[in-house]
Amino acid sequence: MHIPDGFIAPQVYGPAYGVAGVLWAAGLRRLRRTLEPSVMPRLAVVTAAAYVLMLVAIPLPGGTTAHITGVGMLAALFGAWQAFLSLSLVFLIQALALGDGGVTSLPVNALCVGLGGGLAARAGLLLRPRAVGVFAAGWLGAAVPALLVALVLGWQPHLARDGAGQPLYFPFGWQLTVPAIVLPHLLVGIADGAVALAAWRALGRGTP
Amino acid sequence: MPPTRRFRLIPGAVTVLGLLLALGVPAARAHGVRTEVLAGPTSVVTVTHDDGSPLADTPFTVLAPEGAGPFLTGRTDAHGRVAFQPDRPGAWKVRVAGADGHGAVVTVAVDSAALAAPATGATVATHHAHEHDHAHDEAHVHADAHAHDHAHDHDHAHTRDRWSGAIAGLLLLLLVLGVGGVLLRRRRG
Repeated sequence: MHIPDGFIAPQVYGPAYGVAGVLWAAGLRRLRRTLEPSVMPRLAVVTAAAYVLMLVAIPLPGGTTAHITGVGMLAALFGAWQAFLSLSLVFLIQALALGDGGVTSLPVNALCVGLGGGLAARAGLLLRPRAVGVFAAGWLGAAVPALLVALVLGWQPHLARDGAGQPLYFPFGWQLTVPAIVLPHLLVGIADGAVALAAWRALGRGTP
Repeated sequence: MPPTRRFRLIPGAVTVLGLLLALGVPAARAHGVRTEVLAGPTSVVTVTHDDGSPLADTPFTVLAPEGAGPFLTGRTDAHGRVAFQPDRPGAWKVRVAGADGHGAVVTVAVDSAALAAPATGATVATHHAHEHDHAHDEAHVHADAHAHDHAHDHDHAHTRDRWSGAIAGLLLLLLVLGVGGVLLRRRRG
């Protein structure tokens, strides 16, 4: 689900950096006030698990692959803000250490997957019984970011074209990106839900 | 968190992360995309998944330096290759993109010497910088024993790079979160 460099127009990633920058600063300020130091070991382990889980490619019908993001697990255990900040850090390190994703696409990935996924996962947590809510958090944490990424990518050909009318960045519109990206992640969401549920059972009892 | 639970967390976490890394890094080879560029009178960009399987039949666009409109469009061949003949020096861009968001944008640096070289001359650059101490020519695209050995070595080198990158990234992540935890603890006194 990581968008690589070169697929997003500057008129999108420029403002996205502005929005994400404000949210990163606000999120850090909020966490400095509210996060208990005793939670940090668990947070480090779960963030590291999300990083590693993203390395595991799940083969899908049609020859493509997708991966778990762990955003539902992070949001269920620590909240949407922490999911956003943790995933942003993971995306930055993946871009620098592995070349996955990209530096220009970093804020788009962080906003779509970290923030969009985190908020969707928290909405899923409202479902009862609690185990169903946690599974829904994991599933929505995969499905909603996939939709957001598909919408952003499908927007690019409408935004930037050359003199001959050819797309300058990502070339496919929504009619192709939405099914190509969202449908596989409806399946991947099942794995994300199972991981969120397992993490919540192991570490999350008593979390708000 | 009670101390006993914290002490259980650490060995458990190390075990789980180690298992996931062992499973994840080889599997991740199939998810990323790598590129190889031969810049010359006939320039060839080869795009493969990290496991070496080609991004075949995927739409591509070749953009000339400061050119208006695409120089060439089409679909990659069965080996994930794009071939074009640049008509001027400069930074050419090749964009290979599937509708599912997989793909890459590659810059092909073509200089005057490369353009003037014989048709079989080319210089090679890969997404992962490795030393190439022998000249490649367009026979590179033909599968022969040497090409197989070379691809095999390339895959091994790539797996090593992937492992070292993944572990370095994990350590960096834990370092950042560890420093954050220390600062938070200090702030709270």
